[in-house]
Amino acid sequence: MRALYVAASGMSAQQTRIDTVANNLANTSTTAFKKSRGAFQDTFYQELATGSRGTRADLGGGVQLAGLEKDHTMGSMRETGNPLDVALEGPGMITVVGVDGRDYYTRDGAFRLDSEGQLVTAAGLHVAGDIVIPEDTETLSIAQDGTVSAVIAGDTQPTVLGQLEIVTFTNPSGLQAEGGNLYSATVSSGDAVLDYDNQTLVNQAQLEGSNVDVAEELIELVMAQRSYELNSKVVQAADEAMQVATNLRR
Amino acid sequence: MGQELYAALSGAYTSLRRLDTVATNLANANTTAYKGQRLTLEATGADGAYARIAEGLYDHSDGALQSTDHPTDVALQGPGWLAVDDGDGMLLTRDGRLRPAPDGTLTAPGGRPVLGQNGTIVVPPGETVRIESDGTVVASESGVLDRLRLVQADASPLGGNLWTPDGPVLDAPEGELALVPGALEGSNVDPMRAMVELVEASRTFEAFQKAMQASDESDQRLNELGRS
Repeated sequence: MRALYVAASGMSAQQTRIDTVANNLANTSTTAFKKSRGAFQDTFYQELATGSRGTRADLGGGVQLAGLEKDHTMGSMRETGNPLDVALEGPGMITVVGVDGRDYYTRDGAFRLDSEGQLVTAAGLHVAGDIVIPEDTETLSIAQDGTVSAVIAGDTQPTVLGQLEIVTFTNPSGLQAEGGNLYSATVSSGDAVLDYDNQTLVNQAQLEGSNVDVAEELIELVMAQRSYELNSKVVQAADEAMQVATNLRR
Repeated sequence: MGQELYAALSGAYTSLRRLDTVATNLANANTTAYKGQRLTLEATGADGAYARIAEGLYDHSDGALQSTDHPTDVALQGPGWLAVDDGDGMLLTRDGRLRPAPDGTLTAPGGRPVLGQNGTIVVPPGETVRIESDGTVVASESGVLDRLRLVQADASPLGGNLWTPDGPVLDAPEGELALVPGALEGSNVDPMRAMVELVEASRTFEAFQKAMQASDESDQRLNELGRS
């Protein structure tokens, strides 16, 4: 019974959808979280019969997951009043250096200072560019191009301390989510390219919210549950058909 | 043993294949640009007493549009396909989840290059790309790269949301095929209709089973007649 296996593939696809919704919903208030969506495609086809006039009938093998893709649309911006917070407007990402020394990319701009005054992420990873904020800084400003400057006590003119390394990717959907709001470049995303022409603007004292829309997720959940049920009905029908066939011989 | 037993068997067999088809449709109720399938039957045998599968027919009506806001997602509305490069030949798809590969080539799902008017489309490194409603592919700095090639052809499904052309591939006439950027085409499987087909296929199968049993019983009676 082909139908049994086909329905099983359908149920497994719907299960993936439900798992994805669960993860999205769990991250509705995660800074700069990007929701995921499963992309599905049909599997192989097998020739079933050829009609008398040369017409053909193929039978499909079910459904498979083509990939889980991050939706990189922007989340909503909210003011925080913290001069160390930044939100990105546009496709770019901020480069940070991981504990393994490799570059990672994030849109979570909830930065703070470590014990040496260096700009770090909430998890304590160094922001690329080794930006150190002097202790006697009076006002800190981060310009829209990512330049960090400070007015130091006693000075009247601001001193440039460094610049956030804003990068873009040819295919952001191909970035690998590493957890902790970090992403890493993959073969699929392409290499990070410095955002020379400022496609991305840096907004100080703001943070980007999650782009998960709760209502949309709930609809997705309902649809996935119903589709799961429909596929389970096929399992039932195939099972009954087998029972009927078995009862041929009494 | 009468021929009615085998006639009923052919009916039972075709109902099970219809069940398989409904299963495939329902499993793909969430597959991008999936086209529902049904089987047509024809009479066969000397006096047309047997049923056999004649053809798999695809419902090529448009699936519902799903907005994604992704700059390189496109949905097709109307009859036709996006052209996909397959080395020496061409494949077709309506799954418009187009993405640049590492070398910048704009690819269709499955990784094969999607074709523009001038062949494959390569996005210059470091540039982002978007597709507009007339099918032009625009890079952030280099501007217009090419225009997606929209074609029409009869086709059979290959799997992976790709189709193989059965005959000549022609460029889609202006205005027949619309392209919606920032959206994907959903599956056109109607779950309600699929459930009705499921019930119908199972009940038909049961009816043929009853016919086979009846044929068996009458054969049995015939045997008993001979004995008395």
